[in-house]
Amino acid sequence: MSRLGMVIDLKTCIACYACVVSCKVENGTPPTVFWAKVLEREEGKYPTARRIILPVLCNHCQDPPCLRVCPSGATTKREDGIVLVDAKKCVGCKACMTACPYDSRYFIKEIRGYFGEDLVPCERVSYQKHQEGVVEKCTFCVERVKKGLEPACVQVCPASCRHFGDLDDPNSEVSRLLKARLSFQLLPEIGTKPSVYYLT
Amino acid sequence: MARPLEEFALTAKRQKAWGWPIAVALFLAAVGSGLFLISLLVERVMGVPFDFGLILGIGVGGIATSAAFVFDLGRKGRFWRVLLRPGKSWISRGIILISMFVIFGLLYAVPGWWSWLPWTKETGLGQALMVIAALGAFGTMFYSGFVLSYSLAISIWNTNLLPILCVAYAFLAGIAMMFIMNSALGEGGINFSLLKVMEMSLIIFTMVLFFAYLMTTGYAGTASREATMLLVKGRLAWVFWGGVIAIGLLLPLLITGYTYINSDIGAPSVALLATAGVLELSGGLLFRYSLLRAGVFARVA
Repeated sequence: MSRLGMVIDLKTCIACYACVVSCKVENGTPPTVFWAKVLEREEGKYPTARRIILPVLCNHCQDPPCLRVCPSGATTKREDGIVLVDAKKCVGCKACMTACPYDSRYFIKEIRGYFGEDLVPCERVSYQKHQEGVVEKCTFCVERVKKGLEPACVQVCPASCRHFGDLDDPNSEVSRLLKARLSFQLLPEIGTKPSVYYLT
Repeated sequence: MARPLEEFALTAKRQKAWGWPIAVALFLAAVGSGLFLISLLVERVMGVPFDFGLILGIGVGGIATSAAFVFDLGRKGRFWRVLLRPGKSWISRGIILISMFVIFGLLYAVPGWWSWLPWTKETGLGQALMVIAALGAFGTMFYSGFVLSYSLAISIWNTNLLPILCVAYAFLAGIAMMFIMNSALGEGGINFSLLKVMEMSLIIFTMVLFFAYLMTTGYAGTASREATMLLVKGRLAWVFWGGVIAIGLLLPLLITGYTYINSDIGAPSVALLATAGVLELSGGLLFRYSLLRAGVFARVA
């Protein structure tokens, strides 16, 4: 059995936001919706100040709390570990948003364009994939994965800091990286077992 | 579009998914189930038939709660889907418990009006209906706590004390409704001295529980501590101390205590008790609101 996951090398990430933009382009998410984000924080004072950068996305947890609380069965977990939301089943109760410790889910209250009232042609096409009144999140670009491609954020990363593959396969690139380098997951104490790892 | 900087900050975030509509839904569930169970107590223990209280409890707990919950749904037409996962989701369980309490409660109460029905409250079937409805109402009281305490992400909610606190608040709301109805309907043989003692004991129990709850959440990790500080010292402090504690618990305790000690003051006592009831209900609503607003996610790193 496979468990798809992502490994993000924080030493090589340059915070260029290409992952954020590529996710927007690939998935055509409406304004204020960011399935992929880059968190930033400045720490310390001159001359020892430093900026912490953390690219985040849905962790596709092995034990997803969002799946447990979903009353309608809209949130499901595939055999390969990808956690998905079926927009046709979602009732928009937002319980998953309060359950997700990673703030990875977005409620689509209304779909507006980036450039005023009227949607531009590309928005009219891309917004067909989205519904108002439901919750959405990163899908690990499941449609691309089905075709044997990597998620858009992985493919576009100019610093090659994102790696995608089968965490259960000891010979995969992600497994080898995790063996060779020190890594961490976000909020491991909560017990969600995220499938996104960070190399330090 | 401007980049939403706050969204990219590595700081603790307050949950914004659930607001007033859910606070109202949780509050109404407590008021309805509390009123239903207190009306049953009046009927079974004090021997005073109180169908109005039973029906009002069902109306508030079932119909008004569902309306408030559906109002908050993004896809209201798919409401029926929330019943699909009672094995895992507390929202599903809650709606089933509320349905159980409404349906069986109505079946128990209606022989009071429709005597042609083949059962009465005293027959075996009537008693069975009462037990199932009471279990549903009791479950509804717990549900409003469990639906929040099940969230791993928000540690101020993620404690077993919360469902107990919600049950205490639900019983308090039930007695508060009795005090308010007393001013409109008259006593009708109900032993209000017992209800006053219950109200005062419950308020003291709730305050002790609140203290234990805040002591627990205040030391349960960074996010939980931030949320607790938000409640007791931060932006929500005026709602918490002024609304939840002073208006919702202390004033009703003082008023109820005064009317209990001075039981011979007559009509003013009824008005004072109704005031205590209104204050207690206001505090109950603010309790849910402040609890939802204080929901702080843990920092991811």
